[in-house]
Amino acid sequence: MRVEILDPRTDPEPEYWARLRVTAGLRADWAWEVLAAQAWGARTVQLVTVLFDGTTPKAVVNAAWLGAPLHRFSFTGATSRPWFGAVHVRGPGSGAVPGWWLADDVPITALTETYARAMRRELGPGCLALVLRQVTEEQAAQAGRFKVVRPTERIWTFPVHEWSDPEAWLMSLSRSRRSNLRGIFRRVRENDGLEIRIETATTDLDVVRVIEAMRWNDDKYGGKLIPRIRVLTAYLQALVAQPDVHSTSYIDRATGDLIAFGTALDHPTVPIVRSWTQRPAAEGGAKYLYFYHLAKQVEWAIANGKRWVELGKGKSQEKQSLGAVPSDQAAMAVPIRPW
Amino acid sequence: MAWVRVAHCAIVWTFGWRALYRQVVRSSFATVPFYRERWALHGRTDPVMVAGKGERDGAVPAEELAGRLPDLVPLAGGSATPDPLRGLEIVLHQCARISPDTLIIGAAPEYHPRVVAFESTPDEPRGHVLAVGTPGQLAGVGQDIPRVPLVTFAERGSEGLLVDDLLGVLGGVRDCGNWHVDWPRVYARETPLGLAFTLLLQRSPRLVDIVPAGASGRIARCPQHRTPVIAA
Ligand SMILES: [Zn+2]
Repeated sequence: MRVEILDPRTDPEPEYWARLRVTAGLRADWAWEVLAAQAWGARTVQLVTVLFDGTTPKAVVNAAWLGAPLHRFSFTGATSRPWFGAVHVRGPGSGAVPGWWLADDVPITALTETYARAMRRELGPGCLALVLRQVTEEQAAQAGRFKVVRPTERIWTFPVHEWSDPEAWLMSLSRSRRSNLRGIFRRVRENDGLEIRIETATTDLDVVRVIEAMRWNDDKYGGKLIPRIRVLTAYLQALVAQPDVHSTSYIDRATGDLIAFGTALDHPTVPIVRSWTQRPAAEGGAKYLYFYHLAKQVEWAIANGKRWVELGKGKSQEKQSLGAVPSDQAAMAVPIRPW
Repeated sequence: MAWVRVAHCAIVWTFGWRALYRQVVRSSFATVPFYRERWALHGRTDPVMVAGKGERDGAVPAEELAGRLPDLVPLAGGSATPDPLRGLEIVLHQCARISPDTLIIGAAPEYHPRVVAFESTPDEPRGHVLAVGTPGQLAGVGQDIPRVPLVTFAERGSEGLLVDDLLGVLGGVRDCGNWHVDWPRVYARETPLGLAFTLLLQRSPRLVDIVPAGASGRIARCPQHRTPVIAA
């Protein structure tokens, strides 16, 4: 297999990229300008690798080259190449989705062997291991003998194809959650002070305000030792401008303040609800908006004939009570032979 | 040994000042989200400012920083609050005669022992008095009291200290009559947008190549002090 390794910061978009995204069902976070913005705002080198059979792309991998020296407080340098470490395969901009796509006839060993060797060639003998995130049990079983597999946080999905209409979905929930949701719908309907703005491929979103809102979450989840890297305005700008990204802003009509914000990345069958951020309760935030937002995503997915809606990690209780189902995930580390 | 000092100043000005600026630019590109985004995503992989490269030579109009102050904090953390009187203690001493006994009315360096606010100015202040404030504030002070106006670029005349809400005190008129830059703590550069200022010693919020409203002029060297001044 032929291998092409690209740095989205400096390499132009390959001419086959748009077609590959369609074939592989890669959502807007794989749009080239979004990848570039993401890579510029990262602490580590981000590499996109395409494996070809002849001229046909058969696999694509997004990975971070995590190595020493590790930068705690700086972005990666334009020419920085750590001299030893591991290749960390993860979804671009989110660890909650797999960072690779394989054509149906390509086994996972294409990653653990062909791809791993190509990375070692590219990054040098200090490239010691390959770490894959969001691996399923079967995938792990198919990879060679030498590996370490550890369970990671489960991810949640709405089985939208099981519900013929929003009412069928509501009926599948517990009685208390159902009446709670109906109350929330009424509350939002009767709240004239709340403006809900849904935009697709928007170029005039006030991203500065949204980033400010995202900071409420960053401050909540960010670690002390390794600070959470803030989303760059240009990344959000590039993402929400994609034709397959829907962004929802919840705005206080009286003050014009942004109360909550969420994005959804569309896909023919499995859209993903990506970011959700809301003002802390002390500043006028409202927890019920999260339920409202997810409920609206379910309604939209049913109406548009989607099969699943991915929700990512965390907030398990809330997601489960809304009918989401968990799927087990693992991280797998594979040593890379130094020869 | 006056010639040694003169030579020293010239060398520091020519090499040290710019080297310090380049270092701040490099570090801002590596650690401060705002500059990373602005410089890198406009196709620049090289953070060193080069005339004609990047958008408007990399200069940022001050008004574009509205709402963006948290993005000027380096990844390691720091303050997002600018000090509108940054540099006052140094520039004021260069531009006005002050002793510890001077009674300063209005804006004074933090450690100055004798300060009163404009509202509580005594009717007949005794001893050496100096009023420091914006032209509006000074309008209410008795005519016979010596004064140092804090002016913006738009209000700039032939005396006072040059201030900006974000950058603080950028410089002032010294005894030579020239508008001296707060050298070497502030770097100034001519760009298509006007004069761009960089705070060389302030880590956070990081201010690099910021153009205050109406910042026109050239950077020249004072023939008497041999340090940078804003000409015209
Ligand atoms: Zn002078």
